[in-house]
Amino acid sequence: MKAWISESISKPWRKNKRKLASVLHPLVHVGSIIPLLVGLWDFWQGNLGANPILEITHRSGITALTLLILSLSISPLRQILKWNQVNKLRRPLGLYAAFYAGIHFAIYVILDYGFQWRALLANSLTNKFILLGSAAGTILLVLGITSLNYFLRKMGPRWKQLHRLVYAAGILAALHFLLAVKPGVLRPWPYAAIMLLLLSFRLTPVQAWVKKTF
Amino acid sequence: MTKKTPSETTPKNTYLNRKEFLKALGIAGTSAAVLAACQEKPFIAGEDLPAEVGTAVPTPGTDGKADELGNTLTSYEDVTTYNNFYEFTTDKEGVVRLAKDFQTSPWEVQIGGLVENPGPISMEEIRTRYPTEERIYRMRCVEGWSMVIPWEGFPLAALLDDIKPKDSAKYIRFESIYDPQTLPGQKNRYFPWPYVEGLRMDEAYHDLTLLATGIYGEDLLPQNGAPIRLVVPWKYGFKSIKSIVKIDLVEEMPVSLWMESAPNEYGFYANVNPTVDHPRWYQATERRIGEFSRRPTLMFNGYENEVGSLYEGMDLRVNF
Repeated sequence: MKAWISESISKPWRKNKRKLASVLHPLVHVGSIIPLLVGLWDFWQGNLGANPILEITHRSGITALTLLILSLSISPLRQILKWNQVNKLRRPLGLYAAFYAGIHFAIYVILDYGFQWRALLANSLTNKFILLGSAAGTILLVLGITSLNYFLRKMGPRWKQLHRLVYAAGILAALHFLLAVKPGVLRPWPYAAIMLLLLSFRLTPVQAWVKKTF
Repeated sequence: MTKKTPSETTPKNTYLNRKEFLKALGIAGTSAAVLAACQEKPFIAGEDLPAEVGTAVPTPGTDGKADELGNTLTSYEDVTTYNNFYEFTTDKEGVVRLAKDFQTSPWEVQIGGLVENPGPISMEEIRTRYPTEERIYRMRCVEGWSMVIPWEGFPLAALLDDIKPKDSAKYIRFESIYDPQTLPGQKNRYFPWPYVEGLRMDEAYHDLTLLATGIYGEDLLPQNGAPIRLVVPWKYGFKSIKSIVKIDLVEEMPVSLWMESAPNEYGFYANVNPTVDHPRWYQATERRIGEFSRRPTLMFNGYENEVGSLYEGMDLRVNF
């Protein structure tokens, strides 16, 4: 009975997982651009509330973190479901994460602080979460640029090493969010928990277990 | 600290001091009735205002639209929809919806501790005993944003004169309502509810220190701390405790909710100070709600002349 159920699920899955990945691929592009369109629409309509600059700072940051989480969940999905085709979603998700992180940073520097470098510097030195976020953003920028096929070819095995920095970016981004809110504000915790889960998936003992089980 | 005995703060004294001070701010000396007659229309452009606008007294010399430094009022809509009131939610724009059905009547404030006249006092009694006046104050949130708000209220000193603090009272301790059934944010067990705040006696007696019962000429709205709240304009907004149910005069410095939950971030004094850093928010500038660019944050939120002397000789970095 159990075998029959698992067979009845797994057979269509095996047949259609390639198709599903092809359907998801354009959806990644559409879904990733929607937050930007919604933001522009709300700006146009004056729906950004009493503190619009803070609102779009929050929105762009959360979008970047969500996309980073999604891009980091691709490898576990591939391993657990034996779904190689899903891998092609990883690069666009990572690039959109970097894109929104860039918007997030630009809002902070240009709109929030109006290029007041002294204030920006002082803020980075006193408020640790700014430094953590800047580090995460820098990593995503570098990884975004080097994600071009040109660098992939040119860098060889060092490319993979470099792109492992995305794990550091994940930790930094989650800490950035945790420290950006008052203690007792719970909003960052689900993001931090999922990030922790996804990163622990990469640990050697976990990998050994995954390879044995799936 | 300056010790004030009841005899030093007779109602008349307080009244005169206040008059002098208000004159300096440009808010005193004109009859409410005359002004009310002069200006029939409310001084806010907001469309959400009810037709009846209570007993708002527009501010002479500023046309009722700005504070004494010439800062125009923050819009009624922003003041009533962008609120930090963690008893409801930590989402500033979510408070107004959750606070909609909050019951603020009947309401009593328990007066206790080191006072000659303890006991409960009802809102009706507060309203009849203490005539309100309009005060336009800047409010600077520790998170780096600010507003200019026209409060209706009366000086805390007026209440203190009636309840008569004993000589041993060194601080005043306020407590907000605690009722997790109607205040969903109080289910967040991270915070040591109820909300507690406190002032030193000289701060409590200061003419700027207000017990507010109204805003924009109307009764306070639940999201703004109805039916009665504190307003201490030279301190970060979180000192201005909302929906007060208990006032105690005490000998020891009260530990506020924020001091207890994050002692490295929030001190007892919490005076607005652009030169004292906070581990999370930049304090040298602020964004006035409704404005695009940041503006410099003023020492004691611009009330340095009035309150600077209270802290003479104190290290404000240590006593943050």
